[in-house]
Amino acid sequence: MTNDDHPDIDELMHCLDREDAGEAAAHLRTCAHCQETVATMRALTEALAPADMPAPAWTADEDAAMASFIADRAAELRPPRRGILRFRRVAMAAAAALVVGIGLAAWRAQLEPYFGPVPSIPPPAPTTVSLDMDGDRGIDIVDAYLYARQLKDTGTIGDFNGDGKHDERDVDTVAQMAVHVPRSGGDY
Amino acid sequence: MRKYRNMLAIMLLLFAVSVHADEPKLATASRFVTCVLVIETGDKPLAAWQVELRYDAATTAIVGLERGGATGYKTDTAPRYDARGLTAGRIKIADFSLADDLPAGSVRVAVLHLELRDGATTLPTVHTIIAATTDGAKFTATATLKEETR
Repeated sequence: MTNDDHPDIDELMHCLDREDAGEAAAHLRTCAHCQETVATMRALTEALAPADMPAPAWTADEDAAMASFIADRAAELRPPRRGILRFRRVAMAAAAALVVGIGLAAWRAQLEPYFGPVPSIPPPAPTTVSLDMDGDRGIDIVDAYLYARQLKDTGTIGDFNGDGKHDERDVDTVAQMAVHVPRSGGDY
Repeated sequence: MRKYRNMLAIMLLLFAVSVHADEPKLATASRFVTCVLVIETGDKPLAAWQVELRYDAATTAIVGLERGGATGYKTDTAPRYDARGLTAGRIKIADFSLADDLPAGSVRVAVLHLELRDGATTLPTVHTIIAATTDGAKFTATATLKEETR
């Protein structure tokens, strides 16, 4: 009940919906003010109630517009999906490379007992200059001597040790080859 | 009683023999000698030389190698060699010089310090020798390795 002994609007509408004979309903039957309020609320409710609408008929243009909209939405949603797919593709490529690498290593290990160590691709030679400078089909101390003279006279020499420099270390390389002793057997 | 005493004596004798057999052989005394490597060049200046020595690795080891003090050659470093050759039974020793005052004649090119074991007396022998003069031309030379007497 309100302060002026009228039930509030919620109580009135509640008693109408349930059609019970409570205190609010008894009051409503005798109170012209509340009856007017209920009548107003009913009119408002009926006015605001949605009328039965027929199903919309989509025109060709509307279909095209909806298709365009769906396409645009799909385009908006595609970037994150593409990112996920890209990540998946990279992960799959890495996994495939790992599997191939392990396979190659296993293949090399299996071949070694039968064919000896599988030769690796040799690195490019640091130089194509022959170390046999005197042309006697052998590398000895005389070759090192001639290279040392060349370095002294011209200031340049082949990069025999592959360190990117042309200096006395290259002469040392030739000299060390001249006195090299093989690990076992074989001739020099 | 005497029977057991004899058996005990025989067992002790066998034990002593077996213990002696298990003892490692003591290495016989080594003899250390110093040898000088000399190259005869005649009248040609020696600009580059290389000598291969061969020896019995079972009884001989090269324990030291130094320059011979020839004119025109460096004195602060040893001739060039491969350290593997010190005990491999053969070794190549070589050197060259760009100096103007090169030695000729009997050139003392290197000094070797040898360890001779098991009573060995044989010195390494010269297997090959290469000698070249200032223009790089090789010429015939001889090399000898002699024990240096002090």
